[in-house]
Amino acid sequence: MALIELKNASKGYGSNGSRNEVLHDVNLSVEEGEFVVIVGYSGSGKTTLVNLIAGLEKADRGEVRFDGQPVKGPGPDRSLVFQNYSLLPWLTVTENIALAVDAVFPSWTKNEKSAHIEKYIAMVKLSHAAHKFPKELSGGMRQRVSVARALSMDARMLLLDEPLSALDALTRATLQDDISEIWQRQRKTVLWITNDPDEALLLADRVIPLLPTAPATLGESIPVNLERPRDRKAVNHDPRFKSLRNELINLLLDAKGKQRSTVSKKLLLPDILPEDLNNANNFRFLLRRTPRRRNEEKREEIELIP
Amino acid sequence: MSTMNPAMLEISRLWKSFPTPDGGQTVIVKDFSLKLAQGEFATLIGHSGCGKSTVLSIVAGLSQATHGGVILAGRETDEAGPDRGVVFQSPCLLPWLTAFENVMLGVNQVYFTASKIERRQIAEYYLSVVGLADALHKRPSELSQGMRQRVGIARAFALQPKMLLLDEPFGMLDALTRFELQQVLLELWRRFRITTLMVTHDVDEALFLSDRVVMMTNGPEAEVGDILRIPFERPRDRKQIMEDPRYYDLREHLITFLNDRSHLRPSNDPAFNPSPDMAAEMSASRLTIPATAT
Repeated sequence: MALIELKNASKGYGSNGSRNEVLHDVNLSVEEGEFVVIVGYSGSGKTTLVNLIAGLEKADRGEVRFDGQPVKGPGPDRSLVFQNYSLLPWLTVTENIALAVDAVFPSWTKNEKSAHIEKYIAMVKLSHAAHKFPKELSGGMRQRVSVARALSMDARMLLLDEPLSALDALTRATLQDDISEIWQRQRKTVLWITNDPDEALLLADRVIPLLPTAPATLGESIPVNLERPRDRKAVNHDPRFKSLRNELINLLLDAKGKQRSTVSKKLLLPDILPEDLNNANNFRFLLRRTPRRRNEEKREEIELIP
Repeated sequence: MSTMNPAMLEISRLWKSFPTPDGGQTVIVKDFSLKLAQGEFATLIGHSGCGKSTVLSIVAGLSQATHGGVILAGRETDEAGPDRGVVFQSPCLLPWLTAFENVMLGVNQVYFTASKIERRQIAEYYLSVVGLADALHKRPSELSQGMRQRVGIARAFALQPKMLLLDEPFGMLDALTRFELQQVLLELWRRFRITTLMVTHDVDEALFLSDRVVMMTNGPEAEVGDILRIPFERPRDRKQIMEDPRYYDLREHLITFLNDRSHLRPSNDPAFNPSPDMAAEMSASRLTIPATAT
């Protein structure tokens, strides 16, 4: 049985008159131990989808089931990582993680808890910064804390909403590699949301495009049958990677192309040359009243059909 | 692009350094030379902080070179002007003006001899071509990040500048919106063939858009590491290019440079073997080519 199952789930915002449907008839099922990445444009409803699964929002229609049970609210069986880290600024790294551990394992002894916390801090390679405050950490390090916190809950499923989008390219690459390595050891169920096709193909067992139709729907899933560990340099030579990359990017670009508005209007571009303001010897415009034209007769007319 | 064309832009032996508190000098950009032909699209690629933007802002006239000069269309230039259209990473629109009014600001400057109707037509034309026909009168706060950057592109092209200078124009956008805007940029460039110098650290972007990619070594003392000519025919189609067997070779070449070689300086590296483009550029600017390369 699938761990997460969405059946014809729809979600919209706004009241009757100006209701705007964001997700329409979304069907998704994620098996236990699977790494699924959903790729979509900004503003296409990715976060709404995560919120439905996390239980932060309720679907208007359709079902969202976790392990066979309808999702009624957030719970410690699904841990979350957000783009903006969401750490408490007045707590150190250890204390931030302790907050989650205390909530999920209230019966543990102090020693058990601190050993557990240390283990996860070491896993994300932050042992040297365990007693620092979030403001003393770089963006990449903060996101490591957030990942450690999510993992420390030992949840059955990890939901990550654009976890690396706020980081620069190099930091993003290191974190992708580290998270992918942790995942290979733990094989937790992961649902990862991103807008980066390369990130999706490097990490996922299965990539699902979120198509920017209005409202958005999920496209056909694309299985990624590349061996792990995946080396980001070596995959560039892999013909399977290249063809998956092309397939995914084309799918998303084509979907966007279809969705464009169909304003049609006639435009006129007067064939006028700009005046040269940088050249003091060339202030000939003082001697004339009309603009320079490339060609007195020529005017470009184009019909704009996007 | 033949080398017979007169150079639209010549950056000649450019140095940029800043004084340090102890009385010394930190050299940011070292002996940077480059020639761009009329209608060429060139990209500067390198790691963050390597001095790419410094070079671009000197060409834009927003910053002064310590030594060396910039020659634009046969005339030395050391101040900013509307003959160079600049697009920054953030679109820098005036928030209290609509998209149309933002473009009109520049248009009124350079087409002041034209009639009001014609000026309005110009602004409307460029905004429509970048896909904002139905958002002309929206303010920046009502536009998405991608749409704001479209306004920035329209504003630059509307001035019909001699050169277009793009400083990581799509750096703040997500991967997919970036693809869309690259298409918009390429379409406009195809139509008007404005000589363009772009700064980026996105390898795919450089490959898709440019005629030549100039790789810069890591700063400080950044210099030209190598130059790569991109052979894809124009007009370019992303699907076609990505299926081209040469694409992934070129991509690999650039990534390898950025990962492994960008810290090596050609002037100190005895094994440096310049590409033909690099050699041509070096001889044109009378730089010394290491003895092993000959």
